[in-house]
Amino acid sequence: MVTMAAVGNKVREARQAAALSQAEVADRMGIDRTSLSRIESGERSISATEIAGLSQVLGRSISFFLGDAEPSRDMLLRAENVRPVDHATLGAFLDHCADYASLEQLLYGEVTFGLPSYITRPGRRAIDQGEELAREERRRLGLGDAPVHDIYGVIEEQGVKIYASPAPDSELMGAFYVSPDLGPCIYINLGVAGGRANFTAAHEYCHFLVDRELIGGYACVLPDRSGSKPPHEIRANSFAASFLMPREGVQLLIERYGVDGPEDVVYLQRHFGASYEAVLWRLLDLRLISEVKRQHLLTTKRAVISRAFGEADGVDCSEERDALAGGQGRRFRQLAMEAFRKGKISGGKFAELLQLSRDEARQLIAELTEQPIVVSRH
Amino acid sequence: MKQLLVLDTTALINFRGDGLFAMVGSLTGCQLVTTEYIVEQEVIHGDTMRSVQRAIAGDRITVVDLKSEEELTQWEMLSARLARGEASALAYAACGGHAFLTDDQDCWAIAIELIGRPRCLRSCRLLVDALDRALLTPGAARTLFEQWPSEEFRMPWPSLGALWQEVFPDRDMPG
Repeated sequence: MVTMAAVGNKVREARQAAALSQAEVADRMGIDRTSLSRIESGERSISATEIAGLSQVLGRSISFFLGDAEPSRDMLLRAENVRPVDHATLGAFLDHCADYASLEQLLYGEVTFGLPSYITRPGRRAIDQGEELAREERRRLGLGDAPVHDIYGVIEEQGVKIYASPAPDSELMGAFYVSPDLGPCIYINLGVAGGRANFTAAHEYCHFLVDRELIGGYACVLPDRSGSKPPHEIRANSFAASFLMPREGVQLLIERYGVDGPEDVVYLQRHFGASYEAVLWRLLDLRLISEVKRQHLLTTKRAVISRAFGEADGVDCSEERDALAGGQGRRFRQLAMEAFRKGKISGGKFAELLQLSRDEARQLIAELTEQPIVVSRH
Repeated sequence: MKQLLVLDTTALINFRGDGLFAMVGSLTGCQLVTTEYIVEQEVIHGDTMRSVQRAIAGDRITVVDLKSEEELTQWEMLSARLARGEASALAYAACGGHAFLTDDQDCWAIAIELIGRPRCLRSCRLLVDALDRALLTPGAARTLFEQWPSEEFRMPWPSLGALWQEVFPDRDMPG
């Protein structure tokens, strides 16, 4: 049962997480500060319209204020490397994952995921642990030495909920969160070039494979802000590089084509779906280029890439971006469709979940009704 | 005091034409009501918005807001399966013991589970009743019916005639 006291606590929590004063929030909502103060202390009732207003002002879903969200969810928002500017982004991420889990509950009666849990070998360097984990996970998934063409699809198939949004002013690269209610969840900042977003996805995936029982949630930020990286971040970076660019696969291409100029790096970048910088680090790591050559290739990158591709980054990630249409993973959209087909949700709810107008939702339903949909349960 | 009939977003869209809200009021003998959430968040474009604003100004539709803990709890529970607007209308109807009008097949099915068939109305059924009581001409009823499938997610009847046959199996449809 929703109580005014519980809603009031959530309002205060969301306002403080967004670093806004009562006066600022009240002003944006068009109510007086005293009313907001009384709402927060549970002394005044709050209407559906006011909750909708708060949801817009504070960037949280209506369900956040009315639902039984786990208190631990906000641990992610309170992490020391999360800035107030990132609260709305991470709040939207957690809210999306709650919708996703709700669909799983409606369809299967439980939140399902099938991730293995790896134990890292003590005494090994974090960078070596990452490489070994990537090799094991590639073997488990039957990927061989081939590029991962749909990293988001691979991760979602393991039951990880993915949400992506552009946060260009943020230093947040990605985040992960896991709980019994939501299962494993990944946020990816799409405000960076495509190959880098793929790297972030693989990086966050590593956290689930080894860190999920020790760390329930973590926000990963750009390297220059966090200074020296903790071992789990080094391991996750090494995993991401090895998972996207397996040693044998890279070596094979280098033996065939060599690395003479930036064009060769761009070829590898496109082949493996990683960023230009990540390819260079990987080549250095595998001792296929020297540090001097890495620096040279880094400085000549911009002119060559813009000449060859007419864009800032040579990786064409249109397929991956399509897989994350609206910031949502493909499996989420399939679950929503399946729930609609089975009469578990209304057409209006389907439109709301996919952030579509009713017209767009009807068109999509008509198109998808023509195709069989297979949704993995894990 | 008149009984209240709570309209969800689909009902507001379907009966947005001239005089149709008044017709629904006279057909059901109810005061029409919708929620502030629907008015402020969902009916915010085009003909429907203008029509609803006119109906509100003319007191043909009253706007209500969910305020009690019971209404907010029901709203949240229903929102797992329904869009927020549909859920707000049904929550208000359920908690207040009011009748509920929708045109969404799924929302209607959920409403029947929650508040029982007698209090649940569908736009299509009202259309047939309006035709039966000559509040609409056969041509006008057919035009409306043909508009609705393009606005519906699921429409169980292929034609107005098929719908009429289901409601009145022993009588021919006028016109």
